[in-house]
Amino acid sequence: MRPSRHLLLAPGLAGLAAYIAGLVYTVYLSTYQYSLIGIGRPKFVGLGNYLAVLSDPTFQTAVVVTAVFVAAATAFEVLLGVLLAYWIYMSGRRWVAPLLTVPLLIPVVAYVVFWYFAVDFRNGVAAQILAPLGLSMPNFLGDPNLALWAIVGLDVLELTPFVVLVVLAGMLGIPEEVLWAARIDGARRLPMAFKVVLPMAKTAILAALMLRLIDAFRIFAKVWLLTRGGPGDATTTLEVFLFTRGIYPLDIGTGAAVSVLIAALVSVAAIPYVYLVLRTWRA
Amino acid sequence: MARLADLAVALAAATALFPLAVILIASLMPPGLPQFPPARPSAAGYMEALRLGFAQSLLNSAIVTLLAVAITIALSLPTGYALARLGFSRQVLMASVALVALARALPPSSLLVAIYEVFWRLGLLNTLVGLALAYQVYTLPLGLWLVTAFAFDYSEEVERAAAVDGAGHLKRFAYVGLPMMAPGVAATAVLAGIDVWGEYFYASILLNSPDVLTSSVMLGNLVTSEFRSEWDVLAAASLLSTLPPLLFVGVAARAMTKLAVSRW
Repeated sequence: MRPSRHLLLAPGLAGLAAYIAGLVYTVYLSTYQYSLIGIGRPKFVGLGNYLAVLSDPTFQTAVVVTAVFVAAATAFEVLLGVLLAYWIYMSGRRWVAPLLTVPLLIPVVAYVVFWYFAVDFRNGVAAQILAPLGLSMPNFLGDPNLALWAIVGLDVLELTPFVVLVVLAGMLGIPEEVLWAARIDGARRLPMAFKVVLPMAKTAILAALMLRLIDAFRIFAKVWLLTRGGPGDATTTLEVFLFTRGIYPLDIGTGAAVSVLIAALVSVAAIPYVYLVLRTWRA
Repeated sequence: MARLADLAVALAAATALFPLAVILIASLMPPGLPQFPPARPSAAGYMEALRLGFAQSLLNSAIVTLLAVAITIALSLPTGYALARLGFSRQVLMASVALVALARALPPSSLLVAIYEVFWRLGLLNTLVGLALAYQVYTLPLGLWLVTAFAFDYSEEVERAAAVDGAGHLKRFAYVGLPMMAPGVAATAVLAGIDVWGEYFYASILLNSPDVLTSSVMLGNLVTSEFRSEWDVLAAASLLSTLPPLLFVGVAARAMTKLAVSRW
């Protein structure tokens, strides 16, 4: 056995070990009443932080808001993305693919600036277009019933191109012969879509769905910069809650408990993802 | 059918490019006159953004990004090569893949409090080095993922020839692995860099003094400051922070499809 083999393997795995250690340390911190600005030593409180967080109505709101956001954004993005990818694929215009990466290169804060200006109800782009028509722009970001949907809208605009990119790549991997065979057999438009193209691109579609699902839970910058979680708590997501209740007041114990709860909730999507990835690698 | 397809292509292209176009046009509006598009384009927004110190924040972003990417490549390159090429058992490979997938799937927010607490004690808060270390939460899973996928890509025969010639593991890594993987590593570096260049969540929490802010944090601060209605300044700063990653659009397009589809 040559030790050099293990020497090469070690660095990345050490990094992953640090990641796991960080998770374990978070669980440990979550059992203490521990503030960075308080006086006195951290005090062990067991599950006390969890009980406090779980019984906080704002946390319950944050769970609902996050769930609605994740479900709505993922559903719109995947449906629209698959539809657009299919049309682009059938039209043969592949040159559009590199353009689809542009939104992924633009910093999220720049997207926020764009959206802020686009939907601003006084001087925004939409307001300026509507004004000559005698129409006015509703104050989306200031209305508790609309604010979350304005943020979903921005997310859909930013990330649908990603879904198109992934699904289109899957479709372009379908062998030409399969399409010819289907055409010769006289497959019409809808059967072509549902019996040939979509089933053969299903790995890519599933990949896009899972990646969006996992990523949608990470919703801080858009909310924080557009609405600060408001009006009221109407757009307070879990990450905003983590910031306002744990990090901003430097309450490490509560913050750690919220972190663990976030990780537990995301596991609903993360564990199937890991399972699917392993299945793909085993093949 | 052709019409519908044309419409879809146009719609997809427009969705991708419309925000950038709006930012570009808005950045040319004269100060205090949010008329869109501007009747008389002006560069005042850019001048004001630079006067506020936006150039320094772009430099900070560049330093953090390069540092974070360098650490990630240094850690993931040997490991990816070893996993793919040095005959480790299936169990080792699958266990590593599972860990990487898990690290990729869990949100960075679940580690933020622990990082904050440790950085507080080590004095790494409010430093660019600290932020680059924290960014490994984002870039290391991505780096290991891609480098391992690229390391599986090239032909087995080159490796075998080197092994027959009696080259040891380290020599094979240096003389066969590195050159064969170079294009993949470059693509990985670009994607990891794009991932953290525009990152806001960690940066806004771990940094706070004006001289170390990254461009995303400074832009975020402008959005929520008295500049919140100075669209020309906000748009100019947005465009400036968008240009560096935009230079890599070609590499990114190729690498992103690989990242997403090749074994996810």
